[in-house]
Amino acid sequence: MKDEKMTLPKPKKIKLIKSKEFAEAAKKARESFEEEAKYLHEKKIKDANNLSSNISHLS
Amino acid sequence: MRIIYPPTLVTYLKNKHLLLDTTVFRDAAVNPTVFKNFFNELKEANITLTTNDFVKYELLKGFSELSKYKAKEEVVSNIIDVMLPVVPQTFQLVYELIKTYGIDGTALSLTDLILGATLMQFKENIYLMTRDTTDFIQKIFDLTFIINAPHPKGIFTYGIYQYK
Repeated sequence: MKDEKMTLPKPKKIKLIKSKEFAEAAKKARESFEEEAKYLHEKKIKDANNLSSNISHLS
Repeated sequence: MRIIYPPTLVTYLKNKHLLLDTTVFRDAAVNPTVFKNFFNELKEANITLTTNDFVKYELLKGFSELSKYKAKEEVVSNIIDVMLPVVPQTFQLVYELIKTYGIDGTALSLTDLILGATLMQFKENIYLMTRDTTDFIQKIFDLTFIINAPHPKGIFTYGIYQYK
């Protein structure tokens, strides 16, 4: 492999986070993360039920 | 409430890059005020907050409406100063990392491997902040700092890691 040295990209300016803008995006993102967690939980239960149903069909 | 970190953290990371793992963004969305203050303290010390596309994919996948996808994108873009590209050298270093981990690498995610390879690539110029404190093992990475953040149900602990 050719040893290509890459330098870390630097931003033109480091921008501070604005409270209001960040809080609004965070609120909506948080709702999404909660929905994803609920979806994953339900999927886990469904998959476990399918697995136990498949096992009972085999026995 | 605020994030508790050692007084030397900012001096140590000054002018360096801090690579953020998926959990950091998720926790920042849960606790925006606390994390905003912490990140701004780092930014004021010229610490560049960064992440890569693999972390972003983990965050963005799964949403019920497009506005939520966009909100997650906004959380990331508000926090980070620059995206770190994953280049062929990074992918090549993943193989080296897998060899170094040996059996301890069995449970690693692809994102963990890319993050670890990025630390290998940029060595002393970059640190990783993650709540995943069992996969970045100390035979490969130095646990330089430990940070505690209050959480509605307790305390989250993060490691600040650098490649040895």
